[in-house]
Amino acid sequence: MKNKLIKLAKQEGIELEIYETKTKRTDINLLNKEEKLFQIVNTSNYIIKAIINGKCIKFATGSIKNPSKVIENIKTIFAIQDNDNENNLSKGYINNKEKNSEKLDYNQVKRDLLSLNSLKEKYPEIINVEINYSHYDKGYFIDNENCKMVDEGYYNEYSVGITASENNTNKVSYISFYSKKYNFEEFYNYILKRVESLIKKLDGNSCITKKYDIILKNTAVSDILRTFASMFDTENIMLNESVLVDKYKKKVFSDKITIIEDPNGDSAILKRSFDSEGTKTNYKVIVDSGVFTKRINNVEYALKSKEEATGNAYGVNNLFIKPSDDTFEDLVSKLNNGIIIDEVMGLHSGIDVKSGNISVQAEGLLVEDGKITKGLTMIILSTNIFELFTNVVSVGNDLSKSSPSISAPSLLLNNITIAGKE
Amino acid sequence: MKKERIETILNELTSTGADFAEVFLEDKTTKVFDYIDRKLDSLTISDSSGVGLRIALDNQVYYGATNDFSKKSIKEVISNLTNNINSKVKYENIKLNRLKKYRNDTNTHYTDLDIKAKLKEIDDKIWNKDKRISQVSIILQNIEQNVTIANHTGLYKAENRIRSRIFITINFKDGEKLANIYYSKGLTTGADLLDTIDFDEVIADLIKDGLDKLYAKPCVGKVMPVIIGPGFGGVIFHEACGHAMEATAVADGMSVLSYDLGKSIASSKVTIVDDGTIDKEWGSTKIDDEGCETRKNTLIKDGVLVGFLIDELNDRKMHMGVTGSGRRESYLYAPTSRMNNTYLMPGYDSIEDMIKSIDYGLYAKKLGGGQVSTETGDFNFACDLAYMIRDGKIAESVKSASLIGNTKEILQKVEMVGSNLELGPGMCGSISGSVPVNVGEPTIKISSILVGGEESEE
Repeated sequence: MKNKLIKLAKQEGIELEIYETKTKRTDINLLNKEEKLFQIVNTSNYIIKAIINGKCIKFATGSIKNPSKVIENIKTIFAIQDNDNENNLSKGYINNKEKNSEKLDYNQVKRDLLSLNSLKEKYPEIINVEINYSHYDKGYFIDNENCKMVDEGYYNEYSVGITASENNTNKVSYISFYSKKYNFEEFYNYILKRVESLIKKLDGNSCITKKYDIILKNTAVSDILRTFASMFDTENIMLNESVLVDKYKKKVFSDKITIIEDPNGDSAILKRSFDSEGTKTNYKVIVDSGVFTKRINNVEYALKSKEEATGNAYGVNNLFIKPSDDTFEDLVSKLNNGIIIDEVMGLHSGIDVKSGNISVQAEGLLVEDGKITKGLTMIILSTNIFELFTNVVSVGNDLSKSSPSISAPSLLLNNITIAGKE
Repeated sequence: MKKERIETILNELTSTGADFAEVFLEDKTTKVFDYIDRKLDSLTISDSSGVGLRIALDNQVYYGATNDFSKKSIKEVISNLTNNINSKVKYENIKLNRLKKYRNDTNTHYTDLDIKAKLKEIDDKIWNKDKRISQVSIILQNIEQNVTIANHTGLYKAENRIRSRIFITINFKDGEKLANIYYSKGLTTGADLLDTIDFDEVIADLIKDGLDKLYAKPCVGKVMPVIIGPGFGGVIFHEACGHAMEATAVADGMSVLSYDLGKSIASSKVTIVDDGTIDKEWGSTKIDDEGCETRKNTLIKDGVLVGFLIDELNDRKMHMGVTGSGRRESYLYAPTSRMNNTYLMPGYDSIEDMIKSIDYGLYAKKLGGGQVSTETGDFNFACDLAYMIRDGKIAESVKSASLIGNTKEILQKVEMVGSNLELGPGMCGSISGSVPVNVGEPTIKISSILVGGEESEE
């Protein structure tokens, strides 16, 4: 079908390239000991790049089954879009297939997941365990007359919602975890650490509104960084849609913050050697010791900004804050008195990526004299992206695993407002 | 797909003993006009089509989806599903009823070029209003979705759904100060949506609100009374109790409201309905994604919990009857109980009286999105635009305000309800994907709620 479409386009005087994302996903959903849903989803989605007389349009579509209709859509878009974008078709040959030597037995996976019910015996406060597991096989393909690129890989996603109850108070902890290979044992150990915190929150309460020294747990830092990831895009900066407008090459964060993207590195859950426009990806330091050193581009905005395309037409992959040496326990002892924030919620509404303001519901633990003394609930983290990444005292060594594309270590911060009810 | 092929698929799906089988076919075209930086930066025309197959035995559900309609691909999906079931076969030789078709009438006269000209006209008007405007983005979405649903009982129905939604976002910049403000309206209709909006009024309001937001002061974080404006402010009820009344959570005892049917859970001023039948509204459909006709469901009446939103398979556990609420984003998702147009019914209190009754509090003129844990009832919302109330009067605008609370607590704290009911469109994300919904309410007063802000004290 792809060749037919490329051929038909050529007859119409259109240079055409197809970027396909192929996903095969298997999901298992369990509530306590009951299997609720077993699901298999196979899909392909496409980005079409079309060039007529050196001008380019791009658009996403879910189907290329009807090549004549795709050509008709291309002509409609060319006729109406105010298009002065230059672009080129990709060139080259890449065949990067990650071999998956594992043969997953989904019945064994179900047995592993069901074993999480044993947490109820260890912690009688736990009343419900809801588990979602997904295995992904992903394929990315670029095809045009002179190019064929393939990236294929796989990974596993685990998420669990654990509900604990005491004296008619319910608390839930939602935990996400990603791994390249199926690794239930690591996931289980990861959960155990979070359960301890959940139990402490059962008799927790809020706090007085004031500025605190805090530890922002790695998963919370990763969630916030993920929400702001588009701020580094040249497109958003040039369109005044990023908080980093006028900040390029300037000091924006603490010199303890270095942000790196390594899409094809060994630490990536899913390696990507090219982006959706066929630009090869590479290791890059986006923020170097607090200085915003590298903007990320697709081809269109690389040309507009007279910079190199950086292989980020799809966004970012394996973006992380460079970890330092402190263990989480080291950070807690350095904190001495303050708050550990280990859950942030409602980021899609509580974060304004254009102004940088952050006001999100949070939960955590109170630390007094270097020791965790009680749980905290119904509190709000109120800050902004610049304050958050500037008031950094120490950076942890514990890179999170709660996202397939973005990770971060825990951060010790000073002077951050936490609002509470007390 | 022809009727005979759907019948064959249903028969294959039940061949190992499934007591429920369903075929969901979807064909969708989405057009998105993206006008930004003073030009039509992009027009996207996306086609998608696929099939979702669902079987169940008792309460175990198996779902498969593909956009490859070849016999081989569909056979593979069927085999992956039926291999999980080995039971006495209950359904054989399934025959479908005559296809019942539903349409949503539209009267669109706009061509693509007309739309582009209209967006340019709006864009020009906005840029001319103020020098502090740093960017204007206008997005018009137009979606035509055709769904066909068939199941083992012979049910065979199809609906044509056309929806349009416009977003206008204006960014402001003054030195280091940044702010943005947005407007959105969506209807189940074509681009004639544009004819239902007074853009001069909308733009004037956006400029005023945006500048208020640009110079807003940090909000004080503490517990205080809050007045919430009409329309999208209703997201508080969508999040705080709507999700907790969906069978998805209720059926398994996983909702904070699972065991409260018939109990007084809210102030007597609270009556909440979910209505999928309102003509042309953003969250309306004629049938749900299981083929059941939508209806008006009263969920809370005068403070008493009287109903839930129930889909077909969760009704196996709840035995209360389906409510036309089985929804899904697309063929990629198994459906479950979801909201359509959910709103708080209007009352009789005046807005002036509400403001006068507060010495120190917050007026949340516009709410942004929010999130809730249905199990605990804990929720949070961001205020897109808020003002302090001092000595019974609306005072300075404040930024970064968010509202944090708990379902059972907030419902009891609805102290005053105005008469100015408005609806506001949104996309609601949950396990069956992202679906169009309206939220709604008149202006209300909450006696006290935790407000998050950057300032610790005044």
